[in-house]
Amino acid sequence: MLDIGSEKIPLCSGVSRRSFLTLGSAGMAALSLPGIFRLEASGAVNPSAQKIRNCITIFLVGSPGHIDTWDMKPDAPEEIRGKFKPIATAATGIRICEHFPLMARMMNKVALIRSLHHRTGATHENGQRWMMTGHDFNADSIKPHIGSVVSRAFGQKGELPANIILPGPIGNTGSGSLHGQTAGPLGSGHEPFFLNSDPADKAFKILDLEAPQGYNASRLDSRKQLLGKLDALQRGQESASTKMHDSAYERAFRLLTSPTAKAAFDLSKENDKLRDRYGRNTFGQSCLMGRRMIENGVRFVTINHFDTVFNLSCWDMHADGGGLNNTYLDYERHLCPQFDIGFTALIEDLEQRGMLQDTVVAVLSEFGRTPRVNGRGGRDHYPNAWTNFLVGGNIKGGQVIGSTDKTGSAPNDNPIEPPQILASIYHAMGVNLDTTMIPGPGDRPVRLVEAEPIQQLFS
Amino acid sequence: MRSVFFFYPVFALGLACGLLWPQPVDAFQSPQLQGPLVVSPATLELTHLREPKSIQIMGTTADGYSVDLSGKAQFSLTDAKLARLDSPWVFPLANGIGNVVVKVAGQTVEIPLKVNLPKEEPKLSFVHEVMPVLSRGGCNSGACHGYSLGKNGFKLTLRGADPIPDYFSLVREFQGRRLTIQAPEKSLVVTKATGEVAHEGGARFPKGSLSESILVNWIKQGAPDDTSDTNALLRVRMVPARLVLRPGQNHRLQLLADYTDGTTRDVTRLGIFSINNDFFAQVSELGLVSAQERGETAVVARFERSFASTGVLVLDAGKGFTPSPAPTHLIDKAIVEKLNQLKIQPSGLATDEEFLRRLHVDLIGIQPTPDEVRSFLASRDKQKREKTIDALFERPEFVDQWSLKWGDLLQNSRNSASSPGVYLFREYIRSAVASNLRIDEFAKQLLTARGGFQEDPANVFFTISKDTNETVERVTQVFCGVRMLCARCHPHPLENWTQADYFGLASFFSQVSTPQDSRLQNVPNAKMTRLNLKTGFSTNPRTGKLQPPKFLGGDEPKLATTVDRREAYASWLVGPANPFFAKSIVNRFWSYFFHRGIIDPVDDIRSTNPPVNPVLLNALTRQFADNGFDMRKLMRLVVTSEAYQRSSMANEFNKTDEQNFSRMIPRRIPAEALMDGLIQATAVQENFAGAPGGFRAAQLPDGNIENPLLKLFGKPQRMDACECERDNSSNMLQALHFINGKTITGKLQNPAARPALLLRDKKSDPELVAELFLWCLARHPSLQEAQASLAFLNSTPADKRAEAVQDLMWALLNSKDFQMLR
Repeated sequence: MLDIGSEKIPLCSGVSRRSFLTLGSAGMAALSLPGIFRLEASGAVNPSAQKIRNCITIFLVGSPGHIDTWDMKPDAPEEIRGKFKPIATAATGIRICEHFPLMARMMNKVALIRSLHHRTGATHENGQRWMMTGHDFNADSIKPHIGSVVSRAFGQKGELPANIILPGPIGNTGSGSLHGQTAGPLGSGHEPFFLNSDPADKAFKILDLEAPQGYNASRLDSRKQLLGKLDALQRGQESASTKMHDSAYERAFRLLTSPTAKAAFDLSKENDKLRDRYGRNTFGQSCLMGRRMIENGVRFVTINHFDTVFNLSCWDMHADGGGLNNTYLDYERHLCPQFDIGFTALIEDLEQRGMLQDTVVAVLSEFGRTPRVNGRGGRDHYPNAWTNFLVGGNIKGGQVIGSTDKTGSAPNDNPIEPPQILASIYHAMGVNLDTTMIPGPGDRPVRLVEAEPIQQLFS
Repeated sequence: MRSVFFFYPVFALGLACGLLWPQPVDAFQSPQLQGPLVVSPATLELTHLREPKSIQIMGTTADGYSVDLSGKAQFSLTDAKLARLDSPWVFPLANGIGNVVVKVAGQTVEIPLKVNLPKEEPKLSFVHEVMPVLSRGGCNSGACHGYSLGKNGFKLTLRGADPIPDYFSLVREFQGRRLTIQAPEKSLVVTKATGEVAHEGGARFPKGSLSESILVNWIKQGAPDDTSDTNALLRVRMVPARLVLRPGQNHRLQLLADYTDGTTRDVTRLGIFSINNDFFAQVSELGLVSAQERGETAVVARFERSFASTGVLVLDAGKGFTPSPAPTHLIDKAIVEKLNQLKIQPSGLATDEEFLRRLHVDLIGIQPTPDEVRSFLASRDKQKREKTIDALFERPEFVDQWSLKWGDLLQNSRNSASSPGVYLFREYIRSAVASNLRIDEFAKQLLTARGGFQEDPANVFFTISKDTNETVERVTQVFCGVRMLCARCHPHPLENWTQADYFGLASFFSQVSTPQDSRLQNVPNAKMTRLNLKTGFSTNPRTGKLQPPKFLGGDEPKLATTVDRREAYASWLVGPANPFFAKSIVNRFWSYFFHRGIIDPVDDIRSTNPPVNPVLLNALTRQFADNGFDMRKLMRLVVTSEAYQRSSMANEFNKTDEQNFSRMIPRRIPAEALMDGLIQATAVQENFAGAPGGFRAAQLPDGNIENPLLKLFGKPQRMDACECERDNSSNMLQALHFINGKTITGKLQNPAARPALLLRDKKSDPELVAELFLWCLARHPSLQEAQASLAFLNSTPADKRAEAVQDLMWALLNSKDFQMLR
């Protein structure tokens, strides 16, 4: 019953309570049964938790303009409607940008949310924090990435970590380093595992999983055997902490040596046609890698579409003539097709493998872009209205939730804020928001997100 | 750092129909009792037709076990008209005076009985009867209608924090659709709770239960409102307050509630029982304790926002146990007495090598060098442990280690303070540690600081808080070990703190503001601590009224309107009227030398989280105060104890004991000590991005350091005053980094690293192995370890010798004995 704060794992008082879920099955044996039952009762080690769905989040760093993509305003004046035209989609009445022809064909699977907005400043980082954690924080205590929460709540399923971000972290986007892609107070065991390597690159290699230079397999093996011998001699004075250490090493070596784990990261196992279908670029191959991760037991994959907004072609369409010089041309020739191809390949592939019903795919961004095209032909940051979307799992596709006014300036009906999207993702994954809590400031138990799921997504 | 995945418990219910009380099934059949029977209550006064009272009959055996005799007792009445007996309950029938006669264990006890029923049965009380039913049903828990947004349109205050809005929600909201006065059983609130109507929260109590009958009858009476009634709960008590049981033995608890009008209710059927550690004992919903394994825990009962606890000690016969002689050392005396009581034999002393490494890592944050180990081993001085302890206090690393600790606790960080402010505050802390400033003086200086950091670097302490609330929470958590955050928004769920307590504390600090230092406009976060003596008290959001300053669990001091109220707080904080200060410091520092606090978590002191050894904690606290709040004397006392110097090897008696300090429990070395130990072992420096060159990990100004190892091993960001922010757990990503990451392999391959240095010295294989063990693990290899290591070196061809030495060192750094402190 009243366990908060005084909750102790029997005979494991040396282990901090948080550590409990990182113990893994080996460490579990050290716990007394009643302790497990109690945690089970409260949802921590729920065996059926294995059944929660997985999630792939595609994060569009820089943020596409909603009016140029999924919330077009063809009847608005030219300086608002922009250069692109809408096209009909497989879902009656839903029209999206002409540069997403493939997506248009699968629109009956997609639920668009057109009334998103947030009330904090128009920096990329504000939007990233909102959409990656469901919380606004800056100097306040850091909130965990949604994948870290899932890792913490439901643990690791197979050999791979539960929460993976690819290809790498979000770097400089202008205003500080808090991008909402850390485990925050949940501890380093739940930090996102960044691949930090480009899956489209032939030299793709994951640091810490690959042996350092100059080490061949036999040297690694003999080292490992020596460690095994020495560790065995050091046994005999076990505590919860030493068992946790053993379990961590056991899992690390399983990951390092298992052929399946190694194969999971090997895109050459895919046939060339499929690799082509995803697009032979970082984003496309990241989507493919994302699918492979889910297949191999990762619970939460985040694909960062770009790691910065400076000096590259990305969604941040300021057209400023300098380091932020993205324009309609970038959208038309490069960004929209790349997204359209990679995203639809992923959905198709998941569906063909029967994985889509168990995988929620969320396409998220930081904000929308100004309704009025600026003097240089670009659009600037606009958190007052934007569109994101969800596919897969138990999400009902072919629908639009909320809308914006005639000029795309503000939500018109059913305004949605970022925490509701996070609550919806948790809900779509099957996470019970009423019984699952994480430690907040001062160890106070807090809900994962202060919002309820958007019911319309599921009906 | 942060500890469990937390869950608001969804209270399991199913209070079996009303008055059934499980009969204790007892493994303790015919005890030899000693001394008189204890009867609770001593006299029985029944003043309420709805409220029977229970009788507890308790005895004690010659060897100190508690025995619950109520189940075996035969009850009778001298006047059968007065009451009905349903052992152990007595139900009133008619007014009069008589006795309840109890026969048990060959003794007869008479309990005076007075039945004094009012002419008219009083109406049911919303506050004292209905709300406890809602609490017991879990209806107002955080996961259900107590959630800040309510559930399905129905919101209650969290855990029954406030009767007035709860009454409104239940009775008035939506034109009273939740209640059906004409057909009370059909009321939505009843049918939802009993599961007759679909309810997302499931059935909370069955039809025909006491809970249901209270709810239905209250509605039947027209849902009377007594939220303005002045009769209030004074306290709840549990009888008995302490139990000593054998594994398998059962004992009832009785829960009594005292009210301000002088009445006492038996609320055993309405309270919520829980146990702090159900490995040792379990408690049923009706307060029946069943002992499981040898050890100690506490039952906590909650009723109407108040708590009571009963310590439960589970002991077995302890075959072959012989009590240890009582030592004279203050710590060992308290621990050994407790262990004797628990029939636990402590482990013997740790070896010199084990002791030396433990002492170095704990006291100065780095393991000893091979020379230090060798000279300690070589010394024949009988006082060598004491002498080494004294010498370590003088080491510069001692200042690093404890300044790091205080930097964490006071949250000195560039996340919230300016860079120059952080460095000056760091220096302030370092000089306090170096000069062994009395800790009460240190606290007073911090809490009364003012100005900019140029005048008073201690002012940074205040500027780190976003607002007064954060100051209240930080001050209370760091210097009293009490977590007040919950009470900011609602009564504390596990302690008797309310918003009045919280904002009473806030009023001491409401005169403080922290604007940007106008002389340092261009330095981000360079704030001043400014006092505006005219600022009034803080407002209690629940009452909307100003809350006069009130010490934590203490008085409301009468303060002149224009004084710095922090002065009064600081004096109280370190003075004898405050039960928390010295105790929490002692307890916290204890935990830095053991795997846990005497109260644990160390910054969560509350009546429902009792110490594992109160005698020890009190003795240490007293000694600490007597020694003038001298931190070094406190630490010296701890590390000179046998308890600290014990081996981590368990024996037959203490192998399941992890909370009574009968042996050392191995724990992971904190991030900074691990890093500095690694640097010392490999002889390769680490460059910390974000700090001046040449800093050791223990000297870093804050957590804003880009370093994968420190980050992975849980160096805190200092965003929280909670001790839990430091994460000392082990995980797979750490292991991957140690196995393959560049921190380790990079250092090992360095041409100036230990393996290369040792090879250059052309040592023999056995010497080389011994050196590596000493550098990595601060000890010599055992015979088997040496053999395994030599075999490894011998099995590699001569041209791969350099690699083999690196690999041996790699294996030692990856072995448990490097990352763990035994």
